Amino acid sequence: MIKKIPQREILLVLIAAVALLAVGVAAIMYDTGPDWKYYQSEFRTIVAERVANADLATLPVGIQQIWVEKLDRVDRCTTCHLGMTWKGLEDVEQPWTTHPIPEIFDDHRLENFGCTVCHGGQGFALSEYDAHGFVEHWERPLLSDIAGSEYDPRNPPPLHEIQCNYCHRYERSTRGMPFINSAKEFVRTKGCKICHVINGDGGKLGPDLTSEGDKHAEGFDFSNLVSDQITVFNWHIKHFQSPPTIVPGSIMPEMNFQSHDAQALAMLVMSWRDDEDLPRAYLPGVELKDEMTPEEVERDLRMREGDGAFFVEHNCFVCHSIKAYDIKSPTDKGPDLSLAPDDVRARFNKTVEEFLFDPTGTMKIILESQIVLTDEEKWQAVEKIMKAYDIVKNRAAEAEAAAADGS
Amino acid sequence: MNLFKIQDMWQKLIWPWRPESNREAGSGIVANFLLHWFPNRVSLRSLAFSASLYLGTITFIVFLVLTVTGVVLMFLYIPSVERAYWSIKDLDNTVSFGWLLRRLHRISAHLMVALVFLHMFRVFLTGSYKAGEIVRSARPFNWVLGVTLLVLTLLLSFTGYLLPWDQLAFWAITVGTNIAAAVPLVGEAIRQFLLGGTIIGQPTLIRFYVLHCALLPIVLFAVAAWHMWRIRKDGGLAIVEQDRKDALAREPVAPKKSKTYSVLGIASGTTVQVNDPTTLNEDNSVPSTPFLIVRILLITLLTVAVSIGLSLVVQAPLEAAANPEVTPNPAKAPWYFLGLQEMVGYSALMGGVIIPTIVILGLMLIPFLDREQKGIGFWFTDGPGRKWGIFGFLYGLVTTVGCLAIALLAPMRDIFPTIESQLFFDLVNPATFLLLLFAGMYFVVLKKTSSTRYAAIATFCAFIIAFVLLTYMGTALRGPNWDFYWPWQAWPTHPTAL
Amino acid sequence: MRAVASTDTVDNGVQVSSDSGLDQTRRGFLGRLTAAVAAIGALVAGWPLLRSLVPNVLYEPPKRFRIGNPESFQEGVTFLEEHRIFLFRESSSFHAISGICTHLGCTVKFSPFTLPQEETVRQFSYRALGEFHCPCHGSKFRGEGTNFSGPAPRPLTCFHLELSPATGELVVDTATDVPRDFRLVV
Repeated sequence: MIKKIPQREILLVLIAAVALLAVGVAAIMYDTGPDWKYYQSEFRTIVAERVANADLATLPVGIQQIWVEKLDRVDRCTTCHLGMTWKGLEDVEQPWTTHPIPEIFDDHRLENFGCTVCHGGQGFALSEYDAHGFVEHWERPLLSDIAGSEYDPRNPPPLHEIQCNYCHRYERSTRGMPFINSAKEFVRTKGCKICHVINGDGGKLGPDLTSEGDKHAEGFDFSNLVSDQITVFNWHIKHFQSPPTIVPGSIMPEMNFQSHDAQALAMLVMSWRDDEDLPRAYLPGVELKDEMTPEEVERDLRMREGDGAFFVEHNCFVCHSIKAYDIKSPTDKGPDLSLAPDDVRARFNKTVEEFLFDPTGTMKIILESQIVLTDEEKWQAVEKIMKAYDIVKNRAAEAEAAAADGS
Repeated sequence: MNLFKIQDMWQKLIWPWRPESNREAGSGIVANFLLHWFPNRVSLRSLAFSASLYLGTITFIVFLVLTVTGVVLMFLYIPSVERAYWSIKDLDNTVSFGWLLRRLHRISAHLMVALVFLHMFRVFLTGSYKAGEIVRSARPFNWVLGVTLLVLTLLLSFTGYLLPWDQLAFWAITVGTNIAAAVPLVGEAIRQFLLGGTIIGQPTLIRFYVLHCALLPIVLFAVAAWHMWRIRKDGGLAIVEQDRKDALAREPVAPKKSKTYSVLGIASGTTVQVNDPTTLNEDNSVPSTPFLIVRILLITLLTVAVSIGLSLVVQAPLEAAANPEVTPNPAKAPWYFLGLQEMVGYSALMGGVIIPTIVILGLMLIPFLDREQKGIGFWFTDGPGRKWGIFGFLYGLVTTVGCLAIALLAPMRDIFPTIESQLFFDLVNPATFLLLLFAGMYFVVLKKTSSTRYAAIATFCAFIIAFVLLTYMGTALRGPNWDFYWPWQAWPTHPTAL
Repeated sequence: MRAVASTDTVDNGVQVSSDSGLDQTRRGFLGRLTAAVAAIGALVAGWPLLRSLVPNVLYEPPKRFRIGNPESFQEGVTFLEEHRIFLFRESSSFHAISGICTHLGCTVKFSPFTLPQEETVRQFSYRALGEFHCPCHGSKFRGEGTNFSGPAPRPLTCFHLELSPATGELVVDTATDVPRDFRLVV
C-alpha cells in the first residue's frame, strides 16, 4: 500500500513557511525605515518654509558621504545634518541648523576635512546613537557639550579643541581655541619643558610627552583615581591638580591649577598625537616651499618687484634677459630685450611697436597662443623696452667716456 | 504543434508527476537526478524525530546558509588590513541588509559549530558509529569522516574569526594561534606558517581569507558529500539495523549478494543497494518522495527561519579596529576554544597539545575500541547504558568542578612554591588530574561491566559535561587578567579616553 | 515544491489511507498553499541577498571638484590627468572637454597643430588648437569635440565650469553637460 503523507506534516511545513515569510518581511521592514529618511523629509519642509527660491529638487537624497581619502576618513554626518553649509538656517534646531561658525569652512573645506576630524563621533554610522559614538567599542565619541558636561556640568570644556590642536599644534595661539591657547601659555610660563620633551625639545627629567595623546587607556594606572569617570581625560585633570595623588611618589610639582586650567592642560596633552601620517597640507604654518639662500631671495624679489617686473609677470624673461633691469633669463633663447630696438630693426626692419602689434616667425606663434597681451599691455611693453634701451645706451656711453678718460 | 510543445515544456517545468504505483514511483526516482538524492524508500524508524533529531540535516542546511551569505559577503568584504574593518563598518551601516548578512553569517557559524558537536553527541549516544552484524556497514569509517568534518568546521570558524579585523578578531586569533605554538618542536613553525610571518598582519589576513572562502569550504563540502553518501551506502541511519533484525527474524535468510560496485575504490561492501527489499517493506517504510522530501523541506524552512529570526535579535559585535599595540583585557579565543584556553592557563603543553590530541584521536578511535553490536540506533543502547550515562555525567560534573576549584583556590605553583621545573607543572596540574580521572573511570567501568560500550558512554558523558563546564568557565567566569568572576559580579569598569 | 504538492496524493488505486477525512481537493489546496507560501518566503528571504549588492554609497571621486585658480592655468590646453579633462584657456575665457572617448572609454590624446587655425565644424566657428586622437581604436575628434573619423559615435562631452564663490577657484561639474560653445569668462 502507499501511505499518504499526514496532513499534520503539511501543516507543519505551512507553519514553517509562514515563519520564514514573517522573519523575511520583518528583516525588510527593519532595513527600510532608517531615521535619516525622516530627517531628510523634515529638512525639505524647513527649506521650503525658510529659504526663498530654493530648488527642492536639488536637495540631497539618500546617504550623504564625505570621503576624505588623505585623512582616511568617511563621514556620513551630513546625511542628517543637512543645513551645515546653508545660509538662512542659523536659528533652526539640530540636526538641520547652519554650522554655528560658518566661516570655519573658508579654510576647512567640508570635502577636505569632513566632520569627525574636528568633532569626533563615528562617521561611518547612520543612526543618531551610533553616529554620536557614545557606544561600546567606539573610542572617539562626539566632542559636544554632552561629553564635556560629564566633567563640568555648568561650564562644559570645549573638548573639540583637542581635535583642533592635532593640526594646530605648532601654532603659538589659534583663533577660536581659548582653552588650548591658555594651556599653551601655561606650557611656556610654568616651564614644562624643563623636565619634559614637548613638540620635540625639552628636558629628560619627566617622560617625553610628544605623543602623549596616543597613549591608550589600557596604559594608564587608574588605581588611585577616585571618580565615576575612569577616563584618560579625568586622569590627566586630577593628575595636573595633584600629581602625587594619582602617581604616588611623583616629583612633578603641584601647581594649584583651577579645575578649568587643569581641563585645558588635559586637553592640550591629549591633543599631542603622532602626526606623521597627517598630510603636510593639513598642518598650518608649515611652509611648503623650497629653501632659498638670502641672496636668492633678494634676487627673486628684485626680479618680481623691480622695474622689469612686467617682463617677469608675463613670462618674457623665460627666453629674454633684460640687462638694463638686471633680469637674467634662465634660458637666454632670445636676444636681450634691452637691445630689441636695434635687433628688430636689423632683422625685421620694424620698430618695436610695429613688431609687437604685427609679429612674425616664432614670436607670432608665441604672442598668439602662449603670451597673449592686450593692446594696453603691448604699449606698456614698448615703453619699458625703450626705457631699457636708453639705460643700456647711457651705460655704454658712460663706459665709453670712462674708457676715454682712462686712456 | 508549437502550442503543444510549449504546453509540454510547461508540464515539464511544473512537473505534475503522479505515479500510479510503487513500481512507477521507484523507477521515477531512478530516472530523476533530483529525486536521486534520497533512496527509494525510507524506514519509518529513520524518519522519526527521536532517531536523529535531524541534527546532521540541520548542520548541512546551516552550512548552505553560510555558503550563500558567505558568497554575497565576499562581494562586499575587502581582505586588506587597511580596508577590512571599514568594509565591515559599511556592512553594518550603509549596505542594504549588510547587517542581516553579517549577523546571519555569524550566528549560523556559531550554530554550525554547536550543531556538529550536538550531532556528534547524538551519533555517539545512539551508538550509530557501529557497523552492525547483519550487513557489515562502513559506519565506523563514516564516524571518522564526521570527526574530520568537526575539525574542518572548527578551522572554518577559526579562519573566519579574523576577517572583521577588529580587536576581538585580532586578539582571539593571536591567542588561538599561540595555543598551536605550544606543540613541542614544530609549534612555532606551525604558528608562523598559519600567520605567514611572526605576527598577525596582511599575510595572515589573506591566508585566513583564502582558507576561509575557498579551500576549507571546498574540502568541507567534498567530505560532507562523502559523509552523506556513506549514509545511503550504509543503508540509512543506524536505527535501520533494527529493521534488518526484524526482517531477519521474519525471514531468516541472508541478504542477497550482488555484484561489487566501487567508486574509485572509495566504496566498500558487496552491494550497491544495501536496503534490500527484504528489509524495507510496506509496513516499516514509506517512499522517500514525498515523505522524506517534505520532512527535509520542513527542516530547511524551520532552520532558515530560526537563523534569520535569531539574526533579527542577536547583534554581531564589532570592537575597535585591530590594534597590535593594545591588548584588550581580557583577550579571549573564540568560545569553542575557551575550554582549551582555560586549560592552557594551567599548562600550555597539557591543555594546548596533549589533551586536544588525545581528544581528537580518542574520538576517531571510538568505533574501533567499542565493537559491541547491541542496541544500535537506540539512545544509550539500553537501560544499563542510560544508568552509566547518568553516572558519567555526574562523575564528570563533580570531577570537573573539583579540578576547576583546585585551579582557582590552590594553584599548583602555590602548593609547590619551591619547584621551578616547567615540566613538573606540565605534568602536575588540574588538566592532567581531569584526564587521569576520566581514564581511570573508563577502566573501572570496563572492569565492572565488561562492556566497552558502557565504559565509553560513561566517559563520553563525562567528557561532554567537562567540555561544557570548561567552555562556560572560560566564556563567562573569566574577566580581566583572567581573574575569576561569579556571574553576578560586575567586571571592573573598562577605562576609556574620554 | 510542486512535486511535493502534487505527489502527496500518490495513489495506486488500491487503498486510500484512513488518516484523513478530507477529500482530494482540500488536501491539494493545503499542499499548494504551503508550496506558495514557502516560495514567497524564499523570495522574501532571498531579496536581501540581491539588494545588498546594490551600493548605497560610492567610494569615488566627486563629480564636482575644484581644479585650482584660473590664473594658474597656461594659455591653450592643459590636460588634467587625475580627472581626464582637457582645460582650454584663451586669455580670460575657459572651457573644459572630457578626455574620455565616446567609443569605449579610452583616454584620448590631444594632438596640437603647429599654428592655431580658424575652423568651422557643424556651423560653429572657433580657433582650433589641434584635434583629439584616441589610441585604442583610432577615433578622431575636432578641437571642439566633434567626432570625424573612426568608430566613436558621439562628440566628446563638454563640462560645465564655474568659479567657486568662496575661493575663486575653477569648479568643474562633470555631472552637467554643456553645449560646445560654452565659455566661462573670468
